[in-house]
Amino acid sequence: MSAKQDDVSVTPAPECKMSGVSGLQYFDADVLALREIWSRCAVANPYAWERDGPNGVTDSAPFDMKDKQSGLRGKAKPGFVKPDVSRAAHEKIASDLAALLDLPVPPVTLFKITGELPPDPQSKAAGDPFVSISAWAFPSCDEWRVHASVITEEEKASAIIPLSAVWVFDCWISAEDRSYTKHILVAPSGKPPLKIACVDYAFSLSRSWSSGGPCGASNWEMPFEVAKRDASSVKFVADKISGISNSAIEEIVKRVEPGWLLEERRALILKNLPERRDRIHEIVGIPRP
Amino acid sequence: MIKNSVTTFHAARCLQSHIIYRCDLQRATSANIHLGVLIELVGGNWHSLGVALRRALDKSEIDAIASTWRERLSAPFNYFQAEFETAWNEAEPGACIDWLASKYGASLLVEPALQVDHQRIVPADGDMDLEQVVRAHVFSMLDVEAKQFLDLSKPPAVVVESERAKVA
Repeated sequence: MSAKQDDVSVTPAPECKMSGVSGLQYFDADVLALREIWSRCAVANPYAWERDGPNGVTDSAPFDMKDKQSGLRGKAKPGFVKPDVSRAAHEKIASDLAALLDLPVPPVTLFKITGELPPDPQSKAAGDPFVSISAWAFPSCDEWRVHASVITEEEKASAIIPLSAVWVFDCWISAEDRSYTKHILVAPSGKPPLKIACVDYAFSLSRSWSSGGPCGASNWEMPFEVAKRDASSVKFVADKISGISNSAIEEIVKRVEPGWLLEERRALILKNLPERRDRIHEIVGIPRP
Repeated sequence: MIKNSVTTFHAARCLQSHIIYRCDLQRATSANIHLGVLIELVGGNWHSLGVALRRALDKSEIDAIASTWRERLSAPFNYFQAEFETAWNEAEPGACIDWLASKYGASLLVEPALQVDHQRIVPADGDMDLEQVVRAHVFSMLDVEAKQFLDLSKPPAVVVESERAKVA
């Protein structure tokens, strides 16, 4: 099954006033170039995404997608209609906000699959045409737990600054189900810095805020070496978040069309992101500048 | 050992999967190295899990693997055997393959379990007990799948676990 997305205009993102900060992400140049394009629109084009095999066993039923023209491969979700959570929209909004902060979150685009959708091979539930596609941050990477035995102490130490930064971001958007063993992809080389990519933001934003769950500091299960967060990194990102304008937030959230994001959830996100931005120092437990 | 006079055995669920190393995650056109096949069978009171894994890779394949993985995957069976045993011990019957698939979903990929056609198993020897019947069937399925999926210039290593299922 394939579809070409050619009927959605690209809306430029607000200009990013924050300079890239060395040490928060170590993506390759081609991934950063992709992020530059994808983070400026809801649906990046032109791509001729084609469904590939299922990939991973989570309640999002993710699957691989490949672009027939460029050969680019990404991971898509959800694999079937699950109206309880706006998974695709959350992935997209989180990625675009993270791009404003130069955090190690891979680029994400939205995509509407046309034509007949296969049911999820496991649940048999009907497919959802409104998906997100996350690019792979590195040519070779796997979950932290897969490489835990080969990540050196120096590599772990090098991850403290970027993961401390991501923790602040996760607090802002209430990403509540974070486990470093599963939600951090790593590409260890034996030498620092450790290349990391933080993934899976389905359970954040309106999912957290509509379920009445804890909405304070994000409850990360962190590597013990990273549990002592880097104070300067925490402050740096908190300050940067507090400087993101309402218009930047609105641009990112409002360009996600209703197929991916229900209006009541959009309203919740538009209400909570600025409110939590203004309280981010308090949420992460540091003095306001 | 429980002896039964088995004439046929119906597998309630028969699941299969492949183990693949993807040389470049970002490019769908990059090479995939096929490392192994998995079969899981649950039926009656029996649960069985089998894997056929390549014992070694060719030099060209090893060269195509990221340095992070090169040493561990140069002998796929040696690396994956422990994971196979952990899945067998940790996961519920019928969920072993997906236990592995939930962990390996990037460069090293264990495909989520795919349910294959309902199996009606007829023992070759009417005097076989249920465990023998199930194990023989899993071996047979692994053999068929491995021939289709793996480079069998060298025979793969095969392990099959089988037990009375913890579920009814």
